[in-house]
Amino acid sequence: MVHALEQAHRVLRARGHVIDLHPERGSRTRYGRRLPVFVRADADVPAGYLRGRPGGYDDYLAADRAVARVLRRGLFTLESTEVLALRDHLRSLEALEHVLATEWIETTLGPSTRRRLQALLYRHPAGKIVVVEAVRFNLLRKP
Amino acid sequence: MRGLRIDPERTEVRRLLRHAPLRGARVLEVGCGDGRLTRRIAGVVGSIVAIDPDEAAIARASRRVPAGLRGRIHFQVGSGEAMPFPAHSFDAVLFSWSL
Repeated sequence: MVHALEQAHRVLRARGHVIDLHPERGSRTRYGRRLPVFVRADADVPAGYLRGRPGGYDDYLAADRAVARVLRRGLFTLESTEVLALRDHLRSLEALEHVLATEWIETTLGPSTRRRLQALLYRHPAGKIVVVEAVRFNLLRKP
Repeated sequence: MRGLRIDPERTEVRRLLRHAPLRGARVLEVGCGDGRLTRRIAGVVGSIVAIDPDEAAIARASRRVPAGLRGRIHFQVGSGEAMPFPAHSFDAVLFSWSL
């Protein structure tokens, strides 16, 4: 990771920027990362959380450390950093389960959140599922 | 993926374009995957080279480039650990969930 940032420093012009987007560690618990889930109908109705595998985001903790290291070395300066809440939309519970099985394979849907989603979607058949993910946005500048 | 829309509210792109000086810039995107973010910012940047080590993802991304953006986007297989580009050749490097 530090090597990738060194490579970015090499290919950038003076005063060029590195933009780093990666999942934010702040929403982790000791049981793993939690992603809030809603059903969007007339309003967003909370349904519970998806859970990430404990340790599944260690790579992104390493990304935070790599950024801190290149800042200490003076390769870049930090222009801004913030956390974004990205919302992904799924049209049905079946679509969510398919995505969990094929793409978000380190994330699980527990039985209580599943039951709550089923009940909410029964009540709001046109509703869609919204999953919220916290993402760190770092903007670094080459001197 | 049918039934899934990643960030349809475009929070990520809006924030990127508000805070990062990407308009007209020559951009290298590292870890572009199937090019979702690449396509969303390509209309604003000057040009974008997007790399990913996954050959299948690069093939999918290349097929999905809209006709109007073909001159601005170039996808190629590559990784952030060995960027095959000359020094000082980009205005911005974007690590999209790949650092």
